Amino acid sequence: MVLKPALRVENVNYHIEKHHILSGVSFDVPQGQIFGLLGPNGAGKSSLLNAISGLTDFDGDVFWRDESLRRLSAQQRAKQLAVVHQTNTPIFALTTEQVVAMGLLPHKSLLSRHSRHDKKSVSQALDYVGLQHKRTQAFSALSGGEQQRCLIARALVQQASLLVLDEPVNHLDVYYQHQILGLLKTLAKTQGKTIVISLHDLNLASKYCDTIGVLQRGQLRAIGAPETEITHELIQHVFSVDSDIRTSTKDGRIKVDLYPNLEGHSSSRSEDVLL
Amino acid sequence: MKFKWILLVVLAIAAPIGSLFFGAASLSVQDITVCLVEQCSSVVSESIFWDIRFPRVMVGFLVGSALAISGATLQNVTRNSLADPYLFGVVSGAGFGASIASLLFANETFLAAPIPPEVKPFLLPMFAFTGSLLAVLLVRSIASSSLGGRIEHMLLAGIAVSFMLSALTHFLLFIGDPYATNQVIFWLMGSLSRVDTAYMWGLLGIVMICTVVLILLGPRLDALLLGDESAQTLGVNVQQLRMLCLIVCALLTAVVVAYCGGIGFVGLMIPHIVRRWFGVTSRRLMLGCVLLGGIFMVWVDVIARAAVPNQEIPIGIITSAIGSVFFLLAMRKT
Repeated sequence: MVLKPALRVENVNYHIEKHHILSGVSFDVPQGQIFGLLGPNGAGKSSLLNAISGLTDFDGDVFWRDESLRRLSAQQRAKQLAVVHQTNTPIFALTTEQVVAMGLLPHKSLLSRHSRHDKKSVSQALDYVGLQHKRTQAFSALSGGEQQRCLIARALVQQASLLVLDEPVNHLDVYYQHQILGLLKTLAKTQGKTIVISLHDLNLASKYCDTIGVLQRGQLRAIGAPETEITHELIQHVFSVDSDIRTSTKDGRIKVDLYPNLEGHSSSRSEDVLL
Repeated sequence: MKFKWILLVVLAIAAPIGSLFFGAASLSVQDITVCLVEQCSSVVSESIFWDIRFPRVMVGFLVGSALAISGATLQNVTRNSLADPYLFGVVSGAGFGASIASLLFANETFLAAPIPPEVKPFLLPMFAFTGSLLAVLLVRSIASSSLGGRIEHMLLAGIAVSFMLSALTHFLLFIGDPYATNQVIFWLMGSLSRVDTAYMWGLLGIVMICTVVLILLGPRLDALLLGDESAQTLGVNVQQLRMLCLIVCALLTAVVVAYCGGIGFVGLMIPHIVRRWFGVTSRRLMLGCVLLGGIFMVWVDVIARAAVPNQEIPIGIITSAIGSVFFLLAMRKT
């Protein structure tokens, strides 16, 4: 069955001066699916996510439910799309609850205050990500995984149906990596959220993403289901690393073992030199 | 928390009333009470009370509020806890304007010019106000044209412009007429002695409008604390918000500095104390700053008037001296 796309990225080009960061990137994501963006450092993953989120100017267009996100005002866009990325640590001690409540902002006019319903939705979001007991703690005092969960709770309060996450499991230990991605999977399945996420770990991508896109030097090299797209050749070509790929007997997902050839590892990969 | 707010409001009402009883002219407690509840007992006491002391206390309160909310706003929009209304060249700009005015006043051709006598008292504040607005515009244009417009660049541009204008001011004072120079130096140290009823009403209007604007923008200012991009994805137009806040702060500070000179440290200190006692979200912060900034300044002015008999200490000296000690005590880890 072909699912109707909810998010449509059309021919996105982005350059800084003469340097091309993204060239003709196009892909679709159906509603309720997780799209994983893979690729080496400097491939353009963050730039692509910023383009989708409306944080950079670019050529091309991004449609959400047939409506161009570029033509929406920042506030209208924030009602449709929530972004979770590495944030600055606030200089003043905002509490976890106050950070989550920021998600209400796109739905509020200058004069409105938080209603009882708003407080309830903040509390529900905190429950959902398991941070209720830390609601009065300073956001900056939370662990990396807790901060990510707090920002996901903020996205829930924002009531956006499209979530964009830039490397949400970087710097997290194995337990939190699976906890965060498991949470996103549940959100996609139970609440129909469409999720675009950038990842470095091929095994996590294979386990949690419905579709992956592999970026190299600003172009999509592969797009499709992880089990068909993640191949020995692709990994060799994009990451310059040897690999062994097998299918897990436990969950039927593919598992990748990497064998990097680091002889003379002071030299860089070909694309690093080019970039 | 509720108790703290009630205490703050009670103090904000009591502090100005209490401070009315202090001053150079000898008005008895009975005179003042009568003036407050009915008609003053004599024309002299009525004039002293309503034309001098009352505006001075009110202006003191408003000046404290204005400096505190500008400090709070600038700290939020620059995400820098050391930001202060004086950082963007507002005070050095005003000082430069005042120095030019002082040189002109000492110049015989200028003194002979047909300027109506009622305009003369406004000349120094007008020069100072123009100087401070020009300084802010200069900071803004340097930051956006040659430095790329990032907020850190604006801080750097502010510091550079401040130093540049201070150097020019000092040079003008150095070559200027000694009497005029003295006047400018006293003005630079800050004083509420210049104020009158008209200024009080003007300042009241400006502080009220700016406070309402900043309270309405509160949740958007909070969103900035997690970074520009984060705020943008929550639907905040960051550039517009920051520009609006800078204009509001420049206006508040310039109006204060033009009449009352350099009153330092209030804008830096009060917001930090309010955050510590009442929380960091902007709406609480602004309200707390209006009240606590006012209370603080009213009593600093009492000390300025009453500490040395028959003499007035420049208020800027006291805000910095008392402020720094009070600040260190308040910020002690409990």
